[in-house]
Amino acid sequence: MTSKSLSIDNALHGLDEFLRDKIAPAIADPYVAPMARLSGLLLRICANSVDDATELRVDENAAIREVLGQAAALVSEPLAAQLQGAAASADPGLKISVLDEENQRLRILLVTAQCELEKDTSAAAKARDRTIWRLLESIEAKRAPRERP
Amino acid sequence: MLKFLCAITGVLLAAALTIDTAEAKSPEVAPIEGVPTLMTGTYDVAKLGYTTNEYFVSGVANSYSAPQPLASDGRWTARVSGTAPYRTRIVVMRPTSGMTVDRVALDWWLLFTAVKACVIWTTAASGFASGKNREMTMALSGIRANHFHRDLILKIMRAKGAMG
Repeated sequence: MTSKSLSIDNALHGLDEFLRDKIAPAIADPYVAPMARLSGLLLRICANSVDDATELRVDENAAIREVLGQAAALVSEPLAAQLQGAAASADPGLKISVLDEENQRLRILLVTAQCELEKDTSAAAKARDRTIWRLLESIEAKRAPRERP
Repeated sequence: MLKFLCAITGVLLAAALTIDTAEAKSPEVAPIEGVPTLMTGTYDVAKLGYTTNEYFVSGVANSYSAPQPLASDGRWTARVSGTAPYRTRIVVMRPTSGMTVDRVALDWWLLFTAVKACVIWTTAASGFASGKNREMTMALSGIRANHFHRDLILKIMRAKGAMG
């Protein structure tokens, strides 16, 4: 028989349930009571995104780097060198804050690259542009708030 | 004196309500002679370049029920559970100029409004993150509504064939 450890997400789910089922019903204030329920919902969303938070960001950064590398061949200098540099880079750490900072750096380059590609009417540029849009759709789907327990 | 019969239908309002509208039908619209009396203000809208017309609108209204218990997250599904005849009236104020709307161009406005909404939600999230405003609605709109509109932007772009 395996015992389940008290993980961060497990604790946050517990707090959500406590706020929703015990605290909120006991609050008479008509403003504070729903705020307590919303606090629970926020905790639930956080709880559901704890376990794979690092994996999601590492995968996302890698996917952006791959697209930046592909786009580098289609844009002019100095952007091409910037994109190649980013494509060859690695995450500087595994803390969420570090991965998020790197993600922001890569996303800015992605926007810059896409702007350049959309000025180019060649078939190759359009194909890369479509790749970026598909990547953005994939990122948004994976980052959707998870509200179900 | 105007007589009208209005069938009141069940209305469900939620942030993410999915409605089965398969049986929805367009209403019949009939113009009403004369000038309607409305409490719209003390000014004459005709002087501002607007024409006022009144219409009877009638048809069959749907009522809705939820096939599952309503969840606290507001993501509900509604299904048509009955119908009733209705007749009501509407007053339309429109520019006297007769200027028509380019619906294709106007459709792009949807995209702009979604982008604009993202700005609002991002500001809300930033306000919460900085500690300037700790309202739970700010945090949740920064997460849920922001995702909803980013996703909507992508869906509109795809539907319009504007993705490369």
